[in-house]
Amino acid sequence: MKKLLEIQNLKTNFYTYEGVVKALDGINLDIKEGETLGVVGETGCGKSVTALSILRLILPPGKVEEGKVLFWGKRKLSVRDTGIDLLSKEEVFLREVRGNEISMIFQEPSSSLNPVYSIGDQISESFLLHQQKELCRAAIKEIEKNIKENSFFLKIFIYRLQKKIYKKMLDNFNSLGIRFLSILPLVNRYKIWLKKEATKRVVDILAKLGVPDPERVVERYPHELSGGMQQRVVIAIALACNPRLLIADEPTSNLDVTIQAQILDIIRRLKEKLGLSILFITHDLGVVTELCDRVAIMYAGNICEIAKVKELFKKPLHPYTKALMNSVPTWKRKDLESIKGNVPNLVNPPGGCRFHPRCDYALKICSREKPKIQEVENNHWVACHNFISG
Amino acid sequence: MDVLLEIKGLKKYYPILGGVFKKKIGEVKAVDGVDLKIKKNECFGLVGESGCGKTTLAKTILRLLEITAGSIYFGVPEKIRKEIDSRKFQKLKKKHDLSTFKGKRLKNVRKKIQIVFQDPSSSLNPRMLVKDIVAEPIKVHKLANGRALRERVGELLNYVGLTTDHFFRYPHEFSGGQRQRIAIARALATSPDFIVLDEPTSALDVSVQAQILNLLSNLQKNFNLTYLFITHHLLVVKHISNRVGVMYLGKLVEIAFTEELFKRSLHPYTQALLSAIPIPDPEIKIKRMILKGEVPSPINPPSGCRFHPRCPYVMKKCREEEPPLINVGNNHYVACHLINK
Repeated sequence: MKKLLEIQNLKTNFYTYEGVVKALDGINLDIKEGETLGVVGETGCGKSVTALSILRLILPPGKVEEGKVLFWGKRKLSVRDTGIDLLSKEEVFLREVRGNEISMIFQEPSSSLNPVYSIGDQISESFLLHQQKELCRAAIKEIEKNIKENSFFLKIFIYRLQKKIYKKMLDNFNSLGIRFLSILPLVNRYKIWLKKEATKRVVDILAKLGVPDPERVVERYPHELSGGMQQRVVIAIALACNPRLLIADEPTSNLDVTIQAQILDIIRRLKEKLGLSILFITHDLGVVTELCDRVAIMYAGNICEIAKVKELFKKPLHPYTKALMNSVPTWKRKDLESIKGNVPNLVNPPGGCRFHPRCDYALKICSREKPKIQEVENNHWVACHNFISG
Repeated sequence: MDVLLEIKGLKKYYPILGGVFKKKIGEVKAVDGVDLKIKKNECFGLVGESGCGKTTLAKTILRLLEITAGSIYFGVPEKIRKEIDSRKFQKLKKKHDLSTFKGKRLKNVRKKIQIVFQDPSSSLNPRMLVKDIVAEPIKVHKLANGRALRERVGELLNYVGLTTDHFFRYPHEFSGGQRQRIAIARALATSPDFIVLDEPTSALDVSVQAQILNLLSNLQKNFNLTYLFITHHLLVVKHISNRVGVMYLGKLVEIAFTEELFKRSLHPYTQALLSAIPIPDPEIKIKRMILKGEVPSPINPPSGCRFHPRCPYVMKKCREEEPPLINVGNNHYVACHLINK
């Protein structure tokens, strides 16, 4: 399978009053086309920071210090072999990537949606930003159809003028002339065609996501919808422009169990239909089992273990993975084992392997040297001195 | 075993005020007729999704909210409860019904019933030192003071795995799990018999959750406590409870012993809930029962059985008549027309 995204040695720091929080300490991950990679870890391990770093959404006082994020999915460019390093490109380039090639959905749907814009407006924002040419062409076709069907002279004249405006927009969507026209009171009615086209697509995507009565939902505001519906709208915004990669940051953590089941079902069906690659961040091992092909376990800014889902559950190698699995309540388990100690403060993390103070299998070398992640078995990577050969 | 807490026909309606004169134009029927018996030393798990009325039920037991109808009997021996049943002696009812207590009697009962809330960050006063937070219930009930108070606070912190070093710190200096431990220490301060735990581990990480659940089990054994454990996480409830009750839209739809409920759930809603749990084991494949639609609003609950619009086995009777909660054997109660034919 071809690679879609590769993160190389990503380091992110946050400069706070209490000191420098070393949130990410050299992350290495890769996602192939069509695969779902789960990232599992507890609060404060750096999962969300990883996702934000990929899309260059880390704001000061945070800073991506080092590393590369190579992306092979950019449309219209044929850089197939080396990939493009997203961290070294200009902001204009990133703007075209976000929402278009790589989309992200967040944990709380109520805070991801703008409360003062209608659902239709928010989803069509995505189309209007990234699919301007397609929308203009569709609008022109619609106008031409209306010209043929109509016989009233004045109307045809107005339609012809509007068609001219759209043809100009095909060249430059936001030229000075167009922007001027869009302010003039009666003239800016040309925008209706654009809105109609966008609404058509919005209704289409909402129907695909199983939202009942999409024509009416388009007029609604976020506060009028329930949590499950809001999360569907967020997914609609993310998938509007058919991105190659979807980053999902704990999308179902705040939802009830039955609604979570509905949302996971939707994501699974979309994955199959659209061949979507997903980076799924969660703390719930059960969700990972359902949806993901491979899993990466994170602790305190480091990746501990990466393996295929079945392999990880059958044979967890890293001590943290083992401890995590033993502390999750399941159908069969009688006793829950807890991990001694607490998650470390990342201003002054433990030296060497960050997990060593809480590890039952710690060796002397663990406090001195940080273990590098290595492929120990077929496609099973671990970062632990107990398994590193040589 | 003795019944420690009995709830009969509990209803809590929140009024909706509207119009120019703020008249009552409707009601949110948060809890709409709940009957429940919790035995001494038992851990009763109450599960349900958001909006089903679990937290409201918890708060009414503690009289943090006034009930609209029904009675609560705490620590009332069986003989007296039976007599109240038979509708004689209304005076007896008044004497024992927790929902009518006022003043000193209510304060006394509150020594015996305590609560641990969901969010440890908002249930601890951020401007109080830990030692004052844990000492507050003792001071309010005048149970100890001076040196004895300090020793008792130290003892309570030890029970939950904290030390006297933590006396002079503020809640924000602790992690989520530790704050929840402080909340548990505070709940134990008056040596209660009954503790209501309203989603105590929902805001915590998985490994911290394991620590807190193990702590709660140990405390229950050591101090002969009775728990009402409210949660939406079914696997957690399976781990810690003896009996489980499932709530939907203000009513209990199924009650059974934990093993029984998970092996032989009868109510369609329970079955859907159980099948929706993501299982952290790739070998097990469960056929998902995906419910259509969303939870209806408690302002206008559906007629008849409240679950009927979403039930895959709905019959004509379900739309017209509300099914009663019936014992189908082995203390397994179900409210469903399909089962109770």
